[in-house]
Amino acid sequence: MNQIATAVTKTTLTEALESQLGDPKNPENPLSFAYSRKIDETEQFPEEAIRWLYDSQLARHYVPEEFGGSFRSFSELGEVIRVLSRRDASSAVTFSTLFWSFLTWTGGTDAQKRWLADYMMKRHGAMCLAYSERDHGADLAASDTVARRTADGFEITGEKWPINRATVGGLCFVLATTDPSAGPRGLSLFMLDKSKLDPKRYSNFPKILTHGMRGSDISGIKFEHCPVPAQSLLGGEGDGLQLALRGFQITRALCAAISLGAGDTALRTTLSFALNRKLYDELVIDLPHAAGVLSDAFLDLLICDCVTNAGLRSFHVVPEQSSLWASIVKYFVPTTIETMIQNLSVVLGARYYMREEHEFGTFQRVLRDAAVVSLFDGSTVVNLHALMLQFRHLARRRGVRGDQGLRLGQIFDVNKTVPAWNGRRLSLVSTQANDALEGVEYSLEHLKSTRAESTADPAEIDRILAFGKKLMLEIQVHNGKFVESEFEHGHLQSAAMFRAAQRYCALHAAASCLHTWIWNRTNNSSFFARGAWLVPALARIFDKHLGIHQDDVIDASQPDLLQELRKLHRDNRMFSVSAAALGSN
Amino acid sequence: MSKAKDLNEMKDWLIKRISTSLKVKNGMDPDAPFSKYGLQSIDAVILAMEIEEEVGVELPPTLLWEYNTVNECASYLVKIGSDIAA
Repeated sequence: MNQIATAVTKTTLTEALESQLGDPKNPENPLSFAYSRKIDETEQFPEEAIRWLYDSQLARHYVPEEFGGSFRSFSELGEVIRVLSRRDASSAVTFSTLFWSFLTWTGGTDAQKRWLADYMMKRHGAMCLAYSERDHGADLAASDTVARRTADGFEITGEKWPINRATVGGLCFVLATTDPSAGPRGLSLFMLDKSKLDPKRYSNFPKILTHGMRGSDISGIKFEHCPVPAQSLLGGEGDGLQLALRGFQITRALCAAISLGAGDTALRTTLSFALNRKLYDELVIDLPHAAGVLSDAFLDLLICDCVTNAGLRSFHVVPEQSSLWASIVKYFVPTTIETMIQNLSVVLGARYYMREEHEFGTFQRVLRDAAVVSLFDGSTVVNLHALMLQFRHLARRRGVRGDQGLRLGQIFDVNKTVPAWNGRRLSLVSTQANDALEGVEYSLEHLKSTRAESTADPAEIDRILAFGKKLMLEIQVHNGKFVESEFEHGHLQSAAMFRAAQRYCALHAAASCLHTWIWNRTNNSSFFARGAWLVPALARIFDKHLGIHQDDVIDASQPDLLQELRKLHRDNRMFSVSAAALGSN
Repeated sequence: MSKAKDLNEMKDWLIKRISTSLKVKNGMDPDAPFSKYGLQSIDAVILAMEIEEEVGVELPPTLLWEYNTVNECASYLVKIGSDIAA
């Protein structure tokens, strides 16, 4: 484990973890596909996997270095989650409730932080996030759970449901109303150690039978006049909603790593099938339709990788903008990957529907497990809503600070170390315009002036510059619509606003791909650096998400993409920008 | 805002400003919480930022959470204005 704890780069960390976990196709390995099938079929909590992860000290990745852990950056933590999720998304989600600890790293006292670090790393403690209520769903402010002040603390009454790890976990972050007349300032957040509560004053609801993540403990918790100590309050009384919204920014972006891992496995298992199965005297991969689906899926994964990694780095570089980046990542990545997996199912034919046979029936399990990501921690609708409220304000802030260029390299250049994270700098809404969108012109100018440094073909650079201009035009069209619009508020937004928010996320995704290539293209001579994937990726976003058809570009790029996809598969490397080596034993 | 306003001027200004943004048709009750007029949490932070630009004084982003009626908010803004005038 020392090797992992001291890993210098993100790729080193990924490869060290991969090497430790081995090939998931080997049933002897922890979190293997065979194990994943077992917990899914038996709907048993993944106890052995979780124990192995704690015993291997992986909880350290969720604890900041100053409290004895090894957390340094969200992009590293995202890699840990992706590596786990690629094996078993259910175990990854179950273990990764540890990311709720960022509520305490953000709003807790030093004593609370030290206690939590010890609880997670030495006592192998786990936690749940008890926000949702049966009657109120995502409407946190409508909480019926009440925390009433007492002489020596609070007394909590209410029900939280459905909650992941409400039963099998010792710690509970509970959002409760402390002042019913204070509106958004009436909510407070508590970090409750269940072992210190009166067992007669709280109880759990039974495990809920679910479509995917069938081994997970998705249940609920009920408090009945349950006394809790004053020290369990996180932040001040009335700070709950503010802290909850900040915490969501972090966890929403990290959720995308679960999708990336699931997407990698869905594509890998489908590709294994397509490379071996013969139909009409041809291998499936050589059938034009299947080849198109596979290369599209590869593009989707590269696009989502660029979006996620930039989003995770944004917390360190532009926390003032994280409310945007987090919502964009949480909307775009899970929905794109869920659709990608569904698209792949046609390549597998009947085997997509089988809970056994090809590679332990992994595909259908991934399809079901990954479907939860766009739902939890703020659903697609919640994230799009959070974005659309900011459109007018963002369009008006365009160009208010023209120094995006200075920050772009730090957000997108993966070899640049990010500044230490400071949770208190996360803004509830963006106080700056979106650097990814505002910075397209700067990055294109940077590319023009440094084009000699690139390993890409000059004609490819011209194509990229031309597509970059198209992207700038689309961004201008979006901003133009909102700069003179009316102030938007409330939850009754039009369907047209939701479509505008979806397009906004697609523009951000395209910009993220462009910046990622421009700021990393000189790092090596890889497939990524040659840049031939970039215009097809931008074309795929325009085609699928903006309704601007790009058949010629996409069709022409297919042979090159398939060649690289086959190479990554043969060499056992991740379908990602870094193409990290995967566990092989 | 060109000069510090007194409490009544501030209340009138806020009612006009907020009712325009929220499209309130039948007048605002100065003692009713903003949520009564459809203002939630994130949109309240954005409106506070817009108000900040107009009054030219730095305001907490959660202004409309902390002072969640016209009367409370006007009193706070007058107090801040007075502090600056002094």
